[in-house]
Amino acid sequence: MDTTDTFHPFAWLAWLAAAALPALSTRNPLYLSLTLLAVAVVYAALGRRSPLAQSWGAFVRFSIMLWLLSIPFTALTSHYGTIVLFRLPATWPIIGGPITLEAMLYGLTGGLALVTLLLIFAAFNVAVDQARLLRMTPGFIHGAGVVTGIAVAFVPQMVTSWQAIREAQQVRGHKVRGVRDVLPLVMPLLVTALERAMQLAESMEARGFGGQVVPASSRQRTLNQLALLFGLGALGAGFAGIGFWPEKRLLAGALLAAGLALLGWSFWDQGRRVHRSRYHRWVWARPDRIIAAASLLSLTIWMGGLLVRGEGIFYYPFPPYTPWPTFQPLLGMALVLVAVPALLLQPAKDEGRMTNDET
Amino acid sequence: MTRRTLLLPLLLTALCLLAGASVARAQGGDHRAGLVIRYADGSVQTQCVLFSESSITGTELLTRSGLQVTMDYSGMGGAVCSIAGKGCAFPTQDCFCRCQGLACEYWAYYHWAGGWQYSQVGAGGYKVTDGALEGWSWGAGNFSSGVEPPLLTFAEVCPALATATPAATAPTPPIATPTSITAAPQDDAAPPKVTFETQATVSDNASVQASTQPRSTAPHAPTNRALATPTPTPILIAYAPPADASGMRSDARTQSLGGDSTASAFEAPSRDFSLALLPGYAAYLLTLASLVGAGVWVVRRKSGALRKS
Repeated sequence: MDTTDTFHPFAWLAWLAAAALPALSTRNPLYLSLTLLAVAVVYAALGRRSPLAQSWGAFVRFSIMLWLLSIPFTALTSHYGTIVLFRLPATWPIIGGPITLEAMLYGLTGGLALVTLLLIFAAFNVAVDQARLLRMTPGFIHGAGVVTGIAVAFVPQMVTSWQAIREAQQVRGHKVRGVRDVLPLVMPLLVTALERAMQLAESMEARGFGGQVVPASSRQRTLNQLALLFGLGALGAGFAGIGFWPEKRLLAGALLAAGLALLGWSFWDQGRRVHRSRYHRWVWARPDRIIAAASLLSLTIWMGGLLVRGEGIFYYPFPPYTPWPTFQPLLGMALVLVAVPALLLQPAKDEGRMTNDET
Repeated sequence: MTRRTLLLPLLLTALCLLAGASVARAQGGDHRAGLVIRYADGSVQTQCVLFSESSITGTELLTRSGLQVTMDYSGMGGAVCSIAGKGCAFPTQDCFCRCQGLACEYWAYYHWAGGWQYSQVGAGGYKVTDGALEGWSWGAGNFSSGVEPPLLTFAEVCPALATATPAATAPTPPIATPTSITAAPQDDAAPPKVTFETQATVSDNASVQASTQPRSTAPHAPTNRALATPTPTPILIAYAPPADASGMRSDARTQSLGGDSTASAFEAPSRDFSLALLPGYAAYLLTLASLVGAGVWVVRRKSGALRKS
């Protein structure tokens, strides 16, 4: 197993769900700070396993900067609350009026939730790299998955070739003075990109890409399309029913279930025709099972907390509610479980040196 | 992170502090605006609010009247969810909890301009000036209409006489002169006969517990002074101004907010720090310490592996 291999991707999916649920469902700064810390520990443990992983560092820094900018924005525009820090002249547009502590707390906690979600996203992407994500794509949308995988792999390549082209033109004495001078930079870029695309297409065809999809008969195609149509229609009707006829909840629920079932069948039937062979099977080793179990436990505890006492998790500093957050130790335990992958991860062996020719 | 990216938010905060330091606080007032609130059961409450600025927002008028208002500030501006406990218990319930489906009941905002005019602007954006009469009415409606409040004039809500209490010394919050009225609407065509008694209130410096900033308090201990001669219509005192929020000593955790009914008045929790929060905070610190320990262990192991290779 090479060092870029972390755990089973499905275990990471469970971890993603367990970490994202608190960040999405609460603004309580105590819970959010614990989630952020747990995810940061996992992110630190993942380290820099691949060259692509270091680009996520810039992403994390950008999200923290965004958070710091959003705090004064919320504090200056929301003038509600009783604990007034200072007052701006009321004649000033938008920012005029009392600047309250509650508004600042609200901005702080909202930004904290955002930063936590972005860090979860970054950690998940470092742990499960593009190749494994691509492999996890379900069969019925394998075309879209391939296109996305290629696009994601091509973007850094384009960035490096853009820099190389610019350097080469600068050596030739090329200066960008107007719009027409951009042409000698853009043309080689387009040509290189097209050449790479042609090369990739030829190599994929040589490997037999596209040959493993069993063509569907016209009857099967019509069935799939009808199932898709009726499934979407039932879903739409179900959602409309929940919104506009709340007394007919049972009917709306039945419509939603029927729609989901039809869609599910259509996707499964389409996926059945895509045969994929595996070179390297993913094995469920003991650490994978531990991580999956811990994540599921954390998920159930948090879902239970949400369903049983939702208002205990909620945080709203504006009056008449209190700006002091509350904390349940059981939910805190659930958040500590989010840090379990960090304890089981082996540190990457080639942490010190970075290989640039790895794509 | 470059120093330049930190500079912008610091600059903004410094600018605000400088601006704020030079602005005097607005207190008491010689401008008056009337507030008419019509509840779901038809009962009406009016308030006369004093302010000294040239104009205040509709939201400020509501909050300065001393009533307990819950607002939802997510999305576009602020929406009034409940007034004096009647309405939707945000945030446990949706702010427009009675507005799911085809029937929609909510707090509609009206301005007095000859008759009641449905407000085209939200309460946070509308500027209330001296002599204005604002109305809030709970009823069924849609995005362009609601149930109108009863027809009252400004003179009935804010009587033009010197019973207005003197402005207190700074830094006291603004004083409101509440007037409690009820109207039993017998027929919708004619404006209902109302009688009222003015109550002059004195607001003292509310005992500030944990914070040193002044708060806008609700009126304390009203002293009654009947002024107008009562008419033959029977007087029903439907509503008294709610007590000061800090007087309700309920644990912050037991926010028992009512169910779906609009008549559910919820107990506002104390907004100050209470010792009951301490065990929770101790548990939080413990959990935090354990996570920090795990982080330190991970970092140590990483650097240890580096040294070995």
